[in-house]
Parts: sequence; structure tokens; C-alpha cells
Amino acid sequence: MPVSCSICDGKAILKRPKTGDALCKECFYYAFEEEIHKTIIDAKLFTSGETVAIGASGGKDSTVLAYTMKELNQRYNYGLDLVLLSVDEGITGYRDDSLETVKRNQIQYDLPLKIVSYEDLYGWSMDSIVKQIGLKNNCTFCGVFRRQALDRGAMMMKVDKIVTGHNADDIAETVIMNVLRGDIGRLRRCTAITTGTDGALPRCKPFKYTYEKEIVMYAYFKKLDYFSTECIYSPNAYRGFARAYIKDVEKIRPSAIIDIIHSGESLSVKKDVRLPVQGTCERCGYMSSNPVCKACVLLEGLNRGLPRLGIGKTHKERRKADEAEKAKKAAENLNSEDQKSCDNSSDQSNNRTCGSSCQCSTDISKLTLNSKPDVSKLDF
Amino acid sequence: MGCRMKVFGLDEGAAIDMSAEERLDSCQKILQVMAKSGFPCHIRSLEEAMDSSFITTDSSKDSLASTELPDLDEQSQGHRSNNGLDTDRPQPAEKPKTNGLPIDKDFKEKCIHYDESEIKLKELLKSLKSVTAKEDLIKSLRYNILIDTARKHSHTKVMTGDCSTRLSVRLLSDISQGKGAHVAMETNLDFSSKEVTLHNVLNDVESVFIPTLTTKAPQNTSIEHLTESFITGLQADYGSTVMNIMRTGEKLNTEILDSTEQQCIICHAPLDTSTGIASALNAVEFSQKISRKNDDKSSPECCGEGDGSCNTKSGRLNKEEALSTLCYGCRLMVKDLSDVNKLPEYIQRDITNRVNRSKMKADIQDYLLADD
Repeated sequence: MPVSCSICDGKAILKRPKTGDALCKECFYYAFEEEIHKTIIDAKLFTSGETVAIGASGGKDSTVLAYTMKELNQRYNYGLDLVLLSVDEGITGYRDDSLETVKRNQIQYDLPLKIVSYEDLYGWSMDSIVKQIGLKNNCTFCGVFRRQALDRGAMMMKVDKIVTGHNADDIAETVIMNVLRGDIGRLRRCTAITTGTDGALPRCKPFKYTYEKEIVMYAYFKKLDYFSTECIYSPNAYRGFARAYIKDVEKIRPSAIIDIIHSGESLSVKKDVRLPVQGTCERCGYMSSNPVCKACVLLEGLNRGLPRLGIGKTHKERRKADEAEKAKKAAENLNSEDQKSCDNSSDQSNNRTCGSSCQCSTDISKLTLNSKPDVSKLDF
Repeated sequence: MGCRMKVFGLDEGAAIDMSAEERLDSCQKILQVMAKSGFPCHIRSLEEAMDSSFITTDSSKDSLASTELPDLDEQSQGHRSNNGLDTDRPQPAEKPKTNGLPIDKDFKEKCIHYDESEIKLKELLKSLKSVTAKEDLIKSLRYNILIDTARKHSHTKVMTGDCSTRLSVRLLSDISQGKGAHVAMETNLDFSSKEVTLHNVLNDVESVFIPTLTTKAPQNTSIEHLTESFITGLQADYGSTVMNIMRTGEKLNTEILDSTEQQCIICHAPLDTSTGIASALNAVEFSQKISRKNDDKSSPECCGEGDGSCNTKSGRLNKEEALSTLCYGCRLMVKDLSDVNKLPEYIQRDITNRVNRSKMKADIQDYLLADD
């Protein structure tokens, strides 16, 4: 006996992962889109006239995001100018292929596209970073760099907001991760639907309450063109554990993903717990909870040949590096050598050997990226 | 400085279908172990919560917060002084029935006395579909009995033997069950070093293994069980996992309530259901509404009389009304329940009272000057 759709009594072809209701294709599209629309309206994500960049990776989440954003923008007259923004991390065999998908999407959805690359912004592609650091911890670089790259690309395109395809599963996973890491600052922030309202470009997640499985279903039935391969440099082991846990919990109780987000939303942090204050990086001006932002620290590590500088507990590697420098400085003073002896070549290997007293100009241009360079604030 | 200590045991045999003999045997073992601690002992059983005479905690005005936060320091000091010298222990009242073993008779009587409640409890558990919900319910009942026992013996604090691993499992499984607002309530102990002391005190005490609902069950039987194997597995590879989770718990806040009206009827946690419009709760309710036909209001637990809009006068609880008095997490549990009228009488009474009071308030709302 065919199951009938619980909305229109037509022939149901799927069971909604989120509610367990049997629906037909059209009613599923309707429910899926209406929910996203409701999220957008309830959380007042946009104002008419804004230019919004859709963070597009070519994967299922961002492809469905681009499709639904365009659809809803027309249907409900949001009055938004939509653009696609992609980050090219420089991962051969992964990102180059997925960017092809984005380029096809650009044509299919008729939206302007901008691609910013790590190579251009930082002077390092992920391929070259992995060559130096290996497969362990490379996700730290990629994650930190991507965040900034997306913002910088968005600034170049002069957009007002960025939307990303983070779905409910991603957010639930992040809640669990932050509990496991005891990271109270992030735990408090990670369930916010819009972040970066202070200073930087606001980012929002219209899929905050959308199940990953339903995104896949939507893409599958709509036959959307997306790229589905795991990153070749993956897996971020710890996140993987949280992910596996979420999937298992979801099997036991399908509402668990939303339940976890509810938990995250209703956690209240003790008043006397010190939370990191968001300031700006003194090197590149990007927002940061430390004097120097993580991206600049990581970049400094790469350029000085100390790639572990920004990984894990900073002070340990920092101390090692500082001690080495002190010794070097002492030796330099002894030989009455000054900074001018340092070669200004743009060669990376040369940069790596520069000490703290070096003022290679090529270094500076790379570090300050496309923001106003502030040479006086550079301390190496 | 000495404080009065008693040891409580709880017999949960009914929940896992143990036979009367098995339960008696298990209770005796528990009592023997408890008796070795040198404190007066008590044992109660889980089905007592089903008894119609079970007192509600909601109606009593005492702040529950004080029972939530055992001052371990004080207690362990008390413990030590009691252990060292037996001089200041003149507690003639409640001479426990433990020191010899004439308990058999008592317990047999008890078993007979609670037969009816036992059946009720078993029915209640049977009508919960998922093991997760069963465990959740047992946890609430256990907690209420503990509080009730402590009150009856005018104890102001309850100390439980949960180690940090256990607590971190509970914290994470609470989060996974939508109880984020409560985690602080359960884990807010000034724990770190004192936990060790406590552990040492308990260490050379022999223990009784008590099977539970999920003993020997596959790991995906319930959320709590899954979380337990997840955390113990992670702890083996990343030794700081439990400490990290405990650290998260320590930084979380318990809301301070000005009235019991804002408490969940079942678990007494602050109600976390008056969230804003852009919230997970709102989103999930919308999802449920939108993927079903509109005006379909045939709630299965309606009494069947009249137009289906049951009211409490018919003596039967309406699920929608019951849900309105519960926190997010307990709603999940009750949604799993086929008939809300299977809930323990004390919970039903409290729900009815709460619902009636809010109806009264709605009636007179226009004439109320201050909004409290």
C-alpha cells in the first residue's frame, strides 16, 4: 500500500528526516523552503537593498544555499543582490574540481562569481603548506585562512553580508566539539545565527535549523549539480569524533540535532567567567581576540620555517622561537652585524632564515595582504 | 562541626523486571555494604514515586537549589570526624534495621505493599517507546525520591557518589537531549580536588554491582548509553576529555528562580521554553506544523467525549496541557509517552494544579496590576 503524503494526500516518496512525516516531492520542497524562509524572517537576517555574498564551495550545502537563496529572494522579494564567493585553497585534485562546479553554478544561477585564492592572499597554497607541515594540523591553517579569505573576498566585492551553508548538523557538531574542548567562549558564540556583527562583515547561516540529510534530499530530487568528495587532506580527527557521535545520536532520536542546538542556545555562562574580548589584530587589522590574529601567527610560522608556531598552545613554540632569536641576536650584536645584511629577496627559503630583526619588505607585503599595510606595527 | 550523615540506597529492581527474590537479594547486599560505612542506612524503592501518597516537591516552597549544591568540603570533614571517633554519634532516632539481618521480613512486606505501585511503574515504563525516555524518567523519579527522603529526615544536603566521568557523561547526554539549560544544575559542584578525596574515601569500600536498563545492551540503545561509550572511548585516547567537559560544566550558570511556577514539573529545572522567535524550539515546532495537514487536531489522548477539547475536569490529562508545564527535555520524554495519564500521580497532580493556576491567572489577567 502506498504511503500518502501527510500534507496533500498524494503519493509520498520520502520520509522527512527531521520530523518523520511522509511527504511527496512537491510538499517536501515546500516545507524545506518555507522553513528556510521562516528562519530568514524570524532572525531578520537581511534588509532590502543589501548585497549578499554566498560562500560557495561547490559542495552540497552551498549549492543548495545558492539555489534556495535565489529562489526565495525572487519569491518573497527580499530585494537582495546575490553574488557567489569562493575560496581557492589550492588543493590539487579537490578544490580545482569543486571550483569547476561553482563555475557551472554561476552560469546556471546567473550570479556574479569571485574566487579568492590562498596563493594570492597569503603567498601559500594548501598544497605548499602541507608540503611543509605534513598532514597533521593542516586543517588548522586551512580553517583560519578560509575565514579571513572569505571576508577579504567579500570586502573586495563590497558586499554587506556573507551567508554560509552551515547546516544544523554542523552547528550541533560544533556545540559538542566545544563542550569536549572546554571552550566556553566558542560554545557561547557558536549557536548564534549571525556572527561578526561587531566590526567585521556579518555572516549568517540560513540553514541553521536545516538537517544535512534534507539538504542532500533536496539536491538529489532537484538534481542539483554539486561536487561531493571529501578533502584529500582531511580528516580533522577530533571533529570526526563529534560528527560520528551526532550521527549516532540522531539514529536514536532524530530530533537530537535540533535538541543539541536548543541546548546550545539555552546554555548560560556564569557571569564571572572571563570570556575573550574581540579586538583587532595589530598586524592586519582583522578582528581577533589576541593582539595578533591567528592567521598572522600561522603565517609568521610558515614564513619563518617554524610552522608549528600557531598550533596548539602557542607559548611553548613561541618560547622556543624567542630563545633561538635571543641567542641569534646576541651573536649578531657580538659580530656587530646589522639588519641591512639581510637579503631582500622574495625567495621563500630566504624569508625563512630571517630573524626577528629582519625587515624584508616582501614579507610585509605578504603579511598585510590587501588591507592597508601598517609597517610601523610589524614587529619582525 | 559534625554533621549528621545517613546513607540512602535505592532499589530500582522494578524498572528492569527483577524478580522479588533477586531484588531482595540485591537490597540485602546494598544494605550490607552501606552498613559498613557506619552510618544509619535507609533503602527505598523506585516505585514509591508511583504511590498516590508520594509528596510532591513542586508544592513545597523550599528552594531546591540548596539541595542541589552539596558542600562536599563540609561533608567530607564530617565524614572524617565520624569515622575517626564514634563519640559524637548519638542518633537514637531511626535506629536502622541494618545492623543485624532481620531485614528480610521488612522487605518482604515492602514488596507486597508496593505491588500496586510496581505494576503502575512497569506500565509507565512500557508505555515509553524509547529507552532514552525510560532512562530519563527513571532519573527524575530517582531524584525526587532522593529529595523526598532527605526532606523527611530533615537533611539539607544530598551527596551522590558520581565521579567526574559519570558527570561528564551526564552533561553531554543532557546536551544531546535538549537539556542544555540544566547541565549546570547537575554538574555544578566544586569538584576537582575534592572529588579525589571523596573517591579515596569510597575506594576501599566494597561495592555491589547493580544492573540497569542498559547493562549489556548494545551501545545505541539510548542516548545516555551511547554517550557513555563515546566518552570512555575518547577518554582512552585523549586523556583530558573528562576534565575538559567538567571545565565546561563549571563555567555554566544555574538560573536562579523567583518562583516554582517557572520550574519544570518533572525535573524541577528552570523552564527553558520561552525562547525567542528565532530559536530551535520555534523552528522545530514550525517543522512539525508545516509537514502535517493544518487543522488536524485529533490528539490520541483525548477522552473521546464532546468535541475533543478535553479539559481537566474529566479527570484526564491532556497531552498539550501537560507539555506546557514541562521543560524542553522533559517534553521530549513525554512526547514519547503514549498516555500522559500513566505518569506518577504526584506529577499529574502538579500538572493539573499548574494548568489550573495559569487558567485562573489568564481569567483575571486584565485586573492584575503588576506583572510577576
